[in-house]
Amino acid sequence: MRKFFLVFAALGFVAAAQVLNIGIFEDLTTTNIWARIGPDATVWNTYVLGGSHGALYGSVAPTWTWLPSLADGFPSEFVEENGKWVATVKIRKGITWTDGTPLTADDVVFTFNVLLTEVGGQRMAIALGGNWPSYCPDTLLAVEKVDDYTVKFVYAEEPGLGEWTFGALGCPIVQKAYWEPKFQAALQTDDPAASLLAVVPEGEPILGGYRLVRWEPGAFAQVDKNPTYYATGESLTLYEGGGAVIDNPRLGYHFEAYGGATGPVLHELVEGPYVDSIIYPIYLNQDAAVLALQKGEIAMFLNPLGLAKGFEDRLKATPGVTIISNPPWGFRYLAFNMRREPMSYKAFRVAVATLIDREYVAESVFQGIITPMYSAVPESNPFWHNPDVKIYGKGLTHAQRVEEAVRILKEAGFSWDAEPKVINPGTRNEAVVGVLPDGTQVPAPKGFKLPDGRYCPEIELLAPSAGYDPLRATFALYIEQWMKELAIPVKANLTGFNVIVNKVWAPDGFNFDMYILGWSLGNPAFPDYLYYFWHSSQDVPDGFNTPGYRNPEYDALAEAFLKAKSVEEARPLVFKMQEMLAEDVPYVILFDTPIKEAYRADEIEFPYTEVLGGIQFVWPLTTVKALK
Amino acid sequence: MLRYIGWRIAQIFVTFFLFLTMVFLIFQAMPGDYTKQFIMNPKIPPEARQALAERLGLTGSVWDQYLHYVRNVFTGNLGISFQHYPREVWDVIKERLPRTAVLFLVADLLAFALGYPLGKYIAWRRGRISDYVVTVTGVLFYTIFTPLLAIILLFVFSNVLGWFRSGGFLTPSLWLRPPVSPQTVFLLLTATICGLLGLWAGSYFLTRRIGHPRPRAWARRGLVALGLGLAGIAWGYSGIGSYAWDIVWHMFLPVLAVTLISFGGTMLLMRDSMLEVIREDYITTAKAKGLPEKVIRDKHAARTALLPTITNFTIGLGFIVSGGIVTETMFSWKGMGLTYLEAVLQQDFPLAMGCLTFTGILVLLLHLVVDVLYAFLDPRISY
Repeated sequence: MRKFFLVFAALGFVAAAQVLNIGIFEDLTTTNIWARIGPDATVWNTYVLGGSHGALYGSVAPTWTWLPSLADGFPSEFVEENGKWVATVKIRKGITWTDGTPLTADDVVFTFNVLLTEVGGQRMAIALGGNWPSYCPDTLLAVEKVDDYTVKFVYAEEPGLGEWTFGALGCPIVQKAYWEPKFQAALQTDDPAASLLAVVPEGEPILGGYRLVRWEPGAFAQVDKNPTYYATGESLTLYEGGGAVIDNPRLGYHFEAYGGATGPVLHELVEGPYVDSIIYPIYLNQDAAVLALQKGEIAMFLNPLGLAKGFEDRLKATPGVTIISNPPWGFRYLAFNMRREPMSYKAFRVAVATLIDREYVAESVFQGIITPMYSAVPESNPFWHNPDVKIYGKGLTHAQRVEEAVRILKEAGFSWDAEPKVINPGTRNEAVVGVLPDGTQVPAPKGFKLPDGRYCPEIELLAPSAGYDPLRATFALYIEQWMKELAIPVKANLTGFNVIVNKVWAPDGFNFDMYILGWSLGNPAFPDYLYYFWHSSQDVPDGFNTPGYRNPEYDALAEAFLKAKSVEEARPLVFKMQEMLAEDVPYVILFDTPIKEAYRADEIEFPYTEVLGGIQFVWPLTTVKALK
Repeated sequence: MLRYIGWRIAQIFVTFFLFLTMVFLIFQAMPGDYTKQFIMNPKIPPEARQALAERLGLTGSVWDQYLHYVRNVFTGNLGISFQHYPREVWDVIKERLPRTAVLFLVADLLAFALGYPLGKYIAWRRGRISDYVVTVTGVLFYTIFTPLLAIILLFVFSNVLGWFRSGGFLTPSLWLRPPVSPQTVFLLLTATICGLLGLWAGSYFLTRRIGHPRPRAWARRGLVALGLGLAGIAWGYSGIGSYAWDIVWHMFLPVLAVTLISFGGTMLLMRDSMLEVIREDYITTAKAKGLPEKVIRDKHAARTALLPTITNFTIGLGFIVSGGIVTETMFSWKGMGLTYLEAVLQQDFPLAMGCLTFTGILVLLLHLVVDVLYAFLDPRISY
């Protein structure tokens, strides 16, 4: 009975503490930082654990201003020393891990030494995979300790933004004392990377605002506020003119950048954490989560795809619930395997792109819930977005699209046994018929042939099933129908997400013809995915260049982009890269949806709600307040 | 009898072998190559990968894989889950099985407890208004779209009335630092339910010497009530009673959903079976003898009509382990059904096979139980 009372006393304590409940739809898959940034880099792991490990620098939402986090001020300029390029970074003093020990240069150096260690003929960063290689670029040679609070980065050549500012300096830092024995043990095994990934960390010291205190698989995860969080009480003031001021009275730290305190204040963000605990209960369906939100059981739920239209209508009428809409930072796309015929022919890809009527699907089929997209950088990021890329088929009617696609294909040497021809264009009787070489009309085109006269092989178009994403499934069926109108032998295969992923990233190469998937695009301040998705170096098994796009001119631009020393220098390169991608069509960028999110305004208060990609980017919730 | 049981066990063995072969072939026919999924899994160190590959026979031909698979199953080695590496398949099943077992065992028992008497009752009152009302209600629930029923229940009981949470199997704030894991509580709950069932069955044996029916019935009820009371006291003083209650509280809506959906099947089966039986000559004879209607219905007709219902119920118990994917999804109850679904989607071959194998073993064993039960329930059957 005594235990009974203890339990209720504990419950009473929990009730007194400020707790936020935020629903999620998938369980965690790991608590290991190496796996979480590496092969287990799921959005759900990031939601719950994303802020646990600090980095030297980061881009701060909503303006994505690049500012020091663990670092003291900006890094030094690079100088050449004995043919190598060297810069130093100072670390803020007074930052402690949750075990009370100070963060020092040893931790930073250890983190990079793990990534730089050669294992099995490659760097550990490459072996760990996921996002680690972007933190440890090839040109980074060493990271050395200068003193307890200064580290030196040594590069083979002067690094650009992608290798330095938005590369190594954003790397999560781990504690040397905790990880070194585990790393040494991993090095003794045949596959140190896999061994490191397999570690189940217990009691790992962290630096972030919240730390995981309980994970009940299948039920919930709970994070509690870190009383030793270095940034508690730290204010960040962002000014309309771009200036930023950081003030941390606890550490006696003051920093001004980009012109400092000039002009009107845009945002003033004061770090908490303000909430004692955040519980992430797992809901396995959105209906239950929506009901839980209506009831007040949760303050909000997180979903990278946002709120479905039906749920939005239901929640609009719920008192206390606020719905917001933000532009997306991602896209859903059609990819061609350019290693295979006929996708290897630019004319074929251009013809398919011409046939795809995004506006028709967006307006007539989906009633405006999707936004057609054309460029590899979404319009929502105006600094990097190029609005003047080539758009095949833009503004054409269905008949005109068919005629244009046929013209493009014929010019490239493709042919038919019965060539497509549009009859009665613009009327209700509009149809695509076939015309035999002798002029005879047949009900449908047939016998699509490659430029060398062989019949076109069967093409498989992989797309997620309607259960996973009805938007992509519908788009796939329309694309299949439009291609079939030209007698192109394509078959849409709506299948499981993992089946597509396993085929696209098959271990022995890219085993697909065409597929439709989507990307979330990482840091809006620096779209380095333009390098990773289409640079020829990434055309390797497990690489991101799934189409196999190999264009030396594009490669040179992408390399120059990563090496650019300023965003002003990088911008024209990004514009040119978008033009080339739109011209060569390794991807057809299809659409995305505005991110709609719902939260209980009577339970949770966000410091801002207008942010690219949605309030799920107001993370790791250290500036969010609970109102109950 | 023993010879018959031996013969049935031999048959079950052959059936199980065929079942294993079918399962293996189905997985081989699945799109994608699970061996590649396995090789790609970066969580599995190479030395472990090699050992696992040899253990599963993945280095050999399909025939080698089949032989390894059969041998592993018969030696109780279900392998290691690809998704949950380095956990053993058995370990994952142990974690998820109790959650599903408690939920569906309770729901199936309640569905039987509701469906059996209702079926008996409406068959006896065939053609009357109560027959139509109860039949239509049963059919309505039996054929209802499960997610719709789940949403209605969640809306009414959770959203409008606020009595229950909108999903999950525990209250996070209570389980922050629990003295035992939820799995332990689930296991103890399963044991309690099985113990009470055993006591209920045993009460028939223990009270068989009581001559008069009424005291015998009261003695049986008393024994079950005593068991319930003792279980309640034991949970109360165990220090984990509040945790068990939390789980039971979360069970209410999914159990209600499964019970409502399932009772119609039992009821309609019992009704049909009863309608067959009450046309038999011995029922007419009993009526001619002037026996009370309740005695004819409950003792003479229902006992015979019970046989197919028992078969249906007992074999249905075997599928408890596979759970209801829809029910588990709608009520956020991550049990065996979702484990199996995820294993198939993720091509976690050992785990999916483990789930199926486990279901197969249980269904076949319960088949045997049904055969033996028949011998006791139906005096016309002799072996």
